[in-house]
Amino acid sequence: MIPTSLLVLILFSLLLGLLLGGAALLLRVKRDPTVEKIDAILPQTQCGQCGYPGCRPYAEAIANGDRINKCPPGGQATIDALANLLGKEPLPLDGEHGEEAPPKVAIIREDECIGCTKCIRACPVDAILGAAKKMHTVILDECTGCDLCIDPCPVDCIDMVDVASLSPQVPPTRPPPLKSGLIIATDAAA
Amino acid sequence: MQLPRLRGMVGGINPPAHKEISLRNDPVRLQTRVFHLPYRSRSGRLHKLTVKPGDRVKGGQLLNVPRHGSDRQLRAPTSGLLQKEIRVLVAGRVPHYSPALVLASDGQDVWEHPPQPRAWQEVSRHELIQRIARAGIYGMGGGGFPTLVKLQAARIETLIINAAECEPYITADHCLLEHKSDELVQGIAIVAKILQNKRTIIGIEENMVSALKALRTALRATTQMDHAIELQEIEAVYPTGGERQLINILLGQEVPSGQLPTTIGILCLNVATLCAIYRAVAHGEILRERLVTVTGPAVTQPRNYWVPLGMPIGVLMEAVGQTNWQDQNLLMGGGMMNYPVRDENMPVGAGHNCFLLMRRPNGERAQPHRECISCGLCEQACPAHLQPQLLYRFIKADQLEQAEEHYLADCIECAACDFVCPSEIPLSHYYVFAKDTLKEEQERKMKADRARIRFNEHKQRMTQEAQMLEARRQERRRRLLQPNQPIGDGKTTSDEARGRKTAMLDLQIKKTQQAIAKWEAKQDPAEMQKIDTLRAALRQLQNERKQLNPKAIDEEQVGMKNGD
Repeated sequence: MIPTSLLVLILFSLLLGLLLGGAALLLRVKRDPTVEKIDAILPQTQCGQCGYPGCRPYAEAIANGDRINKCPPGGQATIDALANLLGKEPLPLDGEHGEEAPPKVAIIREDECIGCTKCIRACPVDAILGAAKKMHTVILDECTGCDLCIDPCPVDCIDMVDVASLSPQVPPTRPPPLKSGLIIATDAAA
Repeated sequence: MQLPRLRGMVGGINPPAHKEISLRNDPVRLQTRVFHLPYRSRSGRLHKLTVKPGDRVKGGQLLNVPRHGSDRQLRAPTSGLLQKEIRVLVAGRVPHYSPALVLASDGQDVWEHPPQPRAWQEVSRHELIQRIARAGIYGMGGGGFPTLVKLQAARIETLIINAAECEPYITADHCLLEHKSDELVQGIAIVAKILQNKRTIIGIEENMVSALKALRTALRATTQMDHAIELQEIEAVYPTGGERQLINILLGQEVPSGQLPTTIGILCLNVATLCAIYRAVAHGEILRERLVTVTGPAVTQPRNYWVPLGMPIGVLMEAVGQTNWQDQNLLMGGGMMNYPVRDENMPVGAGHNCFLLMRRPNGERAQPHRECISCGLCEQACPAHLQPQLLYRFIKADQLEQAEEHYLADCIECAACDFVCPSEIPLSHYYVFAKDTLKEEQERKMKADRARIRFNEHKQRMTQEAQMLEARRQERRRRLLQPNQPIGDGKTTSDEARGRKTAMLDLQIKKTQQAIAKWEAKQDPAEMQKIDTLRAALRQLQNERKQLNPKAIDEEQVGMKNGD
C-alpha cells in the first residue's frame, strides 16, 4: 500500500508537470531569437558580399551553421561579436568575400547623371532619390555604402567616398599608451 | 543681501590660479577688418544662408533662415563684402570643420537698424524674447547652449547667475564684473521679468575680491527687482563653476543624472550672457563682441581684450603681439579644461572666454603615462560622485558598456582626476574618448536599424511590384488567347487593343500558313489529316480577324495567296 504522503507528492508533481508542459506549448516563442540577435550584430549594409541577398538571410544562414567570417563591412569587430554570441572561435575575415574597408557612401556626380533610374532600383535601402530623365541624388544619411548602385550605372557617374572625409567632426583619438615597466611615480626618475 | 560663504562641494582640487597676471592690465578693445562667420550649428546641421559670396551686407543683416523661433539667428557683425567661403577647424570639446563666410569690413560700419537705447521696463515678455532672439545670443560660459531655449523653459523657480570663474588663468568674467556689474544687474532684472522666478542667486568665488566689490556697489544701486538678488560667496575650489556643482553648493540640490537643471526648476546663466542680454534688450545691439583673456606663460602681456566675434585667431594673435604663436602651444580654455587650436582661420566665438599660450611646442597633448596604483585620489577629487579609477579600467579593457553603466555620462570632464593622479594618467582623455566612441557606436546602431527597416520595406515593395507585373502579364495573355473575349477592359474597344490583337492574329495566321506549307511540301499521305486540322484552325483565325476588322482587305489576299 502506497503511503498517502507519497501519493500527494506524485499527484503534485504530475500537476506541475502538466502546468509546465502547457506553458511550454502556450508561451512558445514563434521566431528564432538567435536569428534576431545575429541580425542585430550584422552591420545592415545589405551589400550581399557574403553571398546572401541581404543581412537577414545571412543571419539565418549563420543560425543554420554557416561560417561567421563572411561580412567585410562589419569586419573583425562583427566577427568577434558573433563569436562571442555564438560561443564560436573568432576567425579572421574570409578574403574571398572582400577586404575590410573604412565605411563609405555613394555620391552621384549629378552633372553626369542621365536619369536612367537603374541605380534607384538597385539600391537595397531606397537611399537614392530621382525620377526618369531627372537627376538622381543619394540621401547620404541613409546610404549604407553597399556599392550595389555602381555596376548598374550606364555612365559611371557614382563614386564611393569615405564617410570620414565627409564628416565635419574630427574623430576621437585614443589616449596615449602606457609607459611599459613603470609602476609608480618614483620609478620615472630612476 | 549678503550671506556667509558656502563650502560643501564634493571633491574638487586647488590648482594654482594664475589669475593675477591677466588682471593687472585694463581691458583693451580690439578691431578687425576680417570676420570669419562659420555656419554649422551646434547640432552639426548647416544653417540655410540667405547670402552668398560676392554679396554686400549691412551690419545686423540676417544671414540665415532660422527654422523655428528659437533657432539661432546669424547676423552680420558689420557692413562689408562677403568675399568667399572657407573651411575652418573649430576647436572645442568636439573639434569640427565648418564652412565659413569671409566678411571683409568696408570700414563704414553701416547698420540695418543702428543700435539705440530702448525702453524695456514696460514691454511684454514676448517682445523681450524677440529682442534676445534677434541678437543671436547663446551661452557664453563655454557650453554654448542656446539661451533662448533656456529662457523659454517652463516653471523656473530659481535663477542662478554663474560668476564662479574657477578655471585657472581665465579672468574674462572677473574683468567683466569689475567693469560692467551695472549691466549685469540690469540683465538679471530683464531675465527675471521673462522668467517670473521667485529667487535669484549670484554664485561667486570668495577670492574674486575686486569683482565682488564692484558687484556689491551695483547691487546696492538697483531698485528694479521685486525680489532681492542674493549674493553668495563660495569657497574657491575647482570646479565650483560647473553648472551642476554650483547648483549643488548653492541650493543643496542634485540635478538628476542625464537631465537638465530646468527639469527641477533651476536655470543657470553665465554673467557674460546676461550682459549680452542687457545690451540686446536695452540697446538693440547684436552679440558682436566679448571679453577674452589672452594669457599663459608664453604671452608677453597677458590681459583681457574686447574681441569682435568672428575675428580669426591668427589676426587676434597678431593684434596682441604674439606673432610666434604657431611655434607655441595655443589652447582654447583655461588651465584645466582646454582644447588645442590648430587652425589660424578659426574665428573667436561667443563661448571662447580664454586663449592660453603655453611654452611647449605643438604636438601630442599628453605624454605616455604609468599604470594605475589604485590610490583612490581621483575618487576623492571627482566632483561628480564617480569612481574614476574604475571607469579608467573599464575603458582600458575596451568594456565601454560597463563604463556607461557606471555613469560615464555624468563625467563633466573637469580633469580634476588628471590633476591629482600620481601616475599622470590622462584620465579625462580616456573618458572623452569613451564617450565619443559610445556616441559613434550608438549612431551607427541607429543607422543600421533604419537600414534594416528600409531594406525590408524595399524588398516587400519589389516583390509586390513583381507580382503585380506578372499578374498583368498573365491577364493580357489570357485575353489574347481567348478569342471571344471582348478586347480591353470589356466595355470599350480601344483602337490600340484592336491593333494589338490584329497583329497577334496576323502572326498566328502566318505561322499556321507556314506550317501548312511545310507539311504540304512533304507530300506525306499520312500527314494529310494534320493539314486539314491546320486549315480548319486557319479558317477560324481568319474569321476572327474578319470580325475584328470587317473592313480589312488583307484577309482576302492572305487567303488567296495560300490557295485556300
